[in-house]
Amino acid sequence: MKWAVLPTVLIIAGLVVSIKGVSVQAQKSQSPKYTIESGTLILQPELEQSSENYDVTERFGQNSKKKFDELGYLVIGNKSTDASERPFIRLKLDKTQLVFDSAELSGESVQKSSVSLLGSGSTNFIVSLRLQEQFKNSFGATIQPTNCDKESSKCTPTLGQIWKRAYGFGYRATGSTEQDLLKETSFRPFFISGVMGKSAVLFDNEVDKKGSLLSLHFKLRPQPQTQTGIYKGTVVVTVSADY
Amino acid sequence: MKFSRILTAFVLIAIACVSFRLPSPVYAQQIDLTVTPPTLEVLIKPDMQALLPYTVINRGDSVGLRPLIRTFSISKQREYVEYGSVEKVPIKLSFIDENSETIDAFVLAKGSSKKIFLLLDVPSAAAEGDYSLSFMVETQPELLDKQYSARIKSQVASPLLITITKTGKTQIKGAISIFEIAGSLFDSFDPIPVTLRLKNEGKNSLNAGGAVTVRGSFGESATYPLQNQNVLSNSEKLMTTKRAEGDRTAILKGFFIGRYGVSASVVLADGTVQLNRSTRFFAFPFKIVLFGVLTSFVGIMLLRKRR
Repeated sequence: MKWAVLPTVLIIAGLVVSIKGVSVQAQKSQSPKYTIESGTLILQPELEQSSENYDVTERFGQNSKKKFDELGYLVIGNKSTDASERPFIRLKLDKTQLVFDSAELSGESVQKSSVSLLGSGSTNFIVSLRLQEQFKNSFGATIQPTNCDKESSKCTPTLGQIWKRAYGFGYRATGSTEQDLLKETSFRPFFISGVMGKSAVLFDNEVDKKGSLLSLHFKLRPQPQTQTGIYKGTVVVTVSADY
Repeated sequence: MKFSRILTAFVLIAIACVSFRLPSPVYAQQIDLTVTPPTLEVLIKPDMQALLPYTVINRGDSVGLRPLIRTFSISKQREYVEYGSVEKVPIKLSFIDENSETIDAFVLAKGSSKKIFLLLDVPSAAAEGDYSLSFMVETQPELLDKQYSARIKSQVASPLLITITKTGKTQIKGAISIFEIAGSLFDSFDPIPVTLRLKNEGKNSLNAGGAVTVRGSFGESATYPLQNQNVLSNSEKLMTTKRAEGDRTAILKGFFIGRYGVSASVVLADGTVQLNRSTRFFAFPFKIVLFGVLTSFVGIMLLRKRR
């Protein structure tokens, strides 16, 4: 029986080490000679580690230097695509107004708006969200973005947490590339940044010709003792190609 | 009398029920905006002017728009972007239309398009370097007089990188900041997560590509080409392959056994600069072996009991 115990112990020890994930420092390869076996990319030997004088012709072709010297500038569109099609980014938004009219009666209201993204070829899109003006009435009383339910683990503009009971304003999103926004009960508050400022990324991925769809779920839970009045806010959705 | 009271109460309840059951009114302005080009890069000498053409196409409802130009940056972990004022950018920036008239705000009817030119005017004293900006158009929905209502402003943005250079020469200097595998010992069936991040330490943006190659101790190898990425100066970016997931460059899947060497080769400036790093991992079919040992152990125990 003893013979079976020893290998079992060894294997369990091995598994423990494996689960703990011993970190390995990456090593610098000293040899610049290297061939990539992809068949399409063959590198030259003895390459430099940096270039102080990387000329415009090396990146934009032989005529670019001549054009740059003649015109004094050079304009390059980065996204290559079919010659038949002009590169573009396209945003579709099905709703520009969110009316939380059941919030007063039922204590909370969730309103949805969907965002469709379309690009030419494979374009990396960044979709971000912020609050330009928080919910405010004419007397200046506000409804703050939510902190979510747990005092010990508050949600932040870049990290969603469970939100069922607390008061405030927040959002989640289906189709997002951010895992915390996908859970049904997990919400984020907003960056409040005026006309300019920080905007939380909720989608950062390639979008092909078929497009991608996001559904934004905005939730409002005003406190019962909230001052009466008409409360208005402004959410900003920014859709950008990635540089 | 009683009957009329009951009837009134009934009617009131019915009205209340119907009004509560009515769906919220729909404020359905649909936005469908296209901006072209999606990105632009400009190399420009000091004391020069350039006109950058943008086209905005509206396939949705008629919409009020405002062209904007902002500085653009993204956080290291790509958790948030920041759009800022161009006040500190040493370039005069303004919008004009095809008739050279200044554009501030305009209404774009359904099915129509508008050309907007961004005029760059670089003063002779402008410092050489990169300026990361973003051209955008912003919708201007109205604020409703409802008890609790929010408008959604939409912005469609096209990044614009302006490099001010007297000679056309730029500095390309990159470094692999992270090349790691999350762990060193794996079960043979486990996915292997590889992370490769590139830091641009130069004064100008760079374009990077290359590949990650995995070599086993039995001579087998697989190569995963890196997708070409632009990295702004003084910033860092995750390099990705087609097997990228979340914040991982690649998730390697398959059956692994023995020692594996993983090397990253990042090429910058169209192959004139190369960066290499390597690491390794070990894989063994622990789970199968453990299952085998435990099954044998239980089997032996049962046999012994029977005897």
